[in-house]
Amino acid sequence: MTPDTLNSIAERNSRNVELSKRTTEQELSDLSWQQLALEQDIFARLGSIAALHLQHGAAQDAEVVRTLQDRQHAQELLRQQLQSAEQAVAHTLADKQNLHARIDGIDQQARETLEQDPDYAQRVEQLDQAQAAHREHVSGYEELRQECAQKRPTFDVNPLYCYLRSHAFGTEQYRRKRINRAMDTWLARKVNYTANRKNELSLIAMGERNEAMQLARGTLIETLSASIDTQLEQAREQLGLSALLGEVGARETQVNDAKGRANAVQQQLAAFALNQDPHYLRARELLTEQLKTQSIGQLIDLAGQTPDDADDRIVEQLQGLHARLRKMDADKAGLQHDLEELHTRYARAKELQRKLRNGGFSGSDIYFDLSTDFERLLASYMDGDTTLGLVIDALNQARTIVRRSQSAARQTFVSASTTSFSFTTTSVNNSSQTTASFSSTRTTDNF
Amino acid sequence: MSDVRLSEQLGAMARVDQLRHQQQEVDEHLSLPQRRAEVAARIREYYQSNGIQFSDALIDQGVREFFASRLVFEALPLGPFERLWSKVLLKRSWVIRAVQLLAVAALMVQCARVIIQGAQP
Repeated sequence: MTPDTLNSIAERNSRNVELSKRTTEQELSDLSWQQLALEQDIFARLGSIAALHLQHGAAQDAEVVRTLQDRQHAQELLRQQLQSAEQAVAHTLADKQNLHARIDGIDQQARETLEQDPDYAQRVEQLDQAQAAHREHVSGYEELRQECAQKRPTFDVNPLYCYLRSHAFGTEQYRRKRINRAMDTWLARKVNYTANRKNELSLIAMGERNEAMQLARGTLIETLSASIDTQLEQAREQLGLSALLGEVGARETQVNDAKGRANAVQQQLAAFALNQDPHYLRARELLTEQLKTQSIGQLIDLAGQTPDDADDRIVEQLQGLHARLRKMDADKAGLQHDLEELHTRYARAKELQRKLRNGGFSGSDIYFDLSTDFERLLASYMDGDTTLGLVIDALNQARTIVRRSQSAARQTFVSASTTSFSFTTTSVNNSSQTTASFSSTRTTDNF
Repeated sequence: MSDVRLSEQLGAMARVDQLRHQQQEVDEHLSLPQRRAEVAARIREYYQSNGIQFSDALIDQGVREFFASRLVFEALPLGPFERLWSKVLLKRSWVIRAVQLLAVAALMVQCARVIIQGAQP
């Protein structure tokens, strides 16, 4: 599994949760609005019962109706604005996707042209070999490094050995004569100096050589990658890639602007969804004021006690409406509970996405060889059965560094090494996936 | 070419051989994983050909432990006298200075005694 696949799964997951969250929010908002309208309807019908003396007259009732209508208009207007902003985002993203398709075409053309060049093909082959050698030696390098780090300090503990070493015993620089030399020879025999010094020098030489070889392998890969990338870059330039990249940048700005507009409208709509908009608050205030002394249920009971037959029919209707109102209360509580759960799931999905983006899980040379199905792991994490730490551990264990083959690179449009261009193109792939989901799920990025 | 003296050539060759030998030795040390695998393979082969039961884990552990003991500092523990004597040898310059000081002091005492005896009637 490539980092792109991993990120797209995580992205799709958070988008699905976001969609469910928005749907539930919308359902809750609709239900609250219907509840308010029903309360107003009940109140209007109660007002038509002559025997009941309600505190406020028809004027206040009409204000409630007007406020509810205003609310509906305002919400409709905002929805139209949101739709227009989202259409703008979708169009710009489609344009951007087309540009990326053209860039992909150019990239492929550039690669095909370069593959005809034996010098380029040879360099790619060399890079493959160098990376293979690097992978093969990396564990040995670490082991030898650790060995040197562990064993070298043991040669600095024995005072006799350190004394002889400080006087360069056994080397051409050693200058002592006769008695002193005899004394040092006795000490050297006691401390097995010759063999130990040989071991120490071998350890030093081995450590230095190990580091030098690792550096040489790394440098070779860097040099070859840079050379291949430069050649690829030149071929792309000749085919007019830079102009297209400029256009992509401009589209990116347009997309961000449109997304910003959509987000702003969505924030305003969120107030409606949460019933925090001024229209709703005003209507609720008016109704609360009207029902200050008695609840709707009590008023219906009072209306039932009136002797008029016409009133009885109204009361019958009112009782039906009141039952619906109570059912709405229960439904609302259920939806609020669902919404709370979805908020938690959304936070988990976003946290995972952030971790994947910032935790070193991207790059053209990374591949995840997961023993378990990632989608199942993700579902378990979303249900709260698995922690984020365990998911990250599983990914870290499954992470391997590989160089994708030319054919794979051609399909996924990655560079030979991790360069700035590679990053650009990686985000291109993500964006193209964003486009498809965006138009279908009616959402905006809030990261 | 004819100006090259044989002694120079032989001397330089000796040094080159020394360097080559050192490099060869370092290379051997560097190929630790490979050498471990080769030794383990040889042991497996030996056990198999002699019909001896073995487990790969045990062989790997043994080989790993054997190679872990390479290039370590090893010195036999010293006896009490050897410890004392080695300490003296480590501080030999101080000891020599102390002995010299004692000798000078003894000489001065002796001289003083002779002078005092000569002055007495």
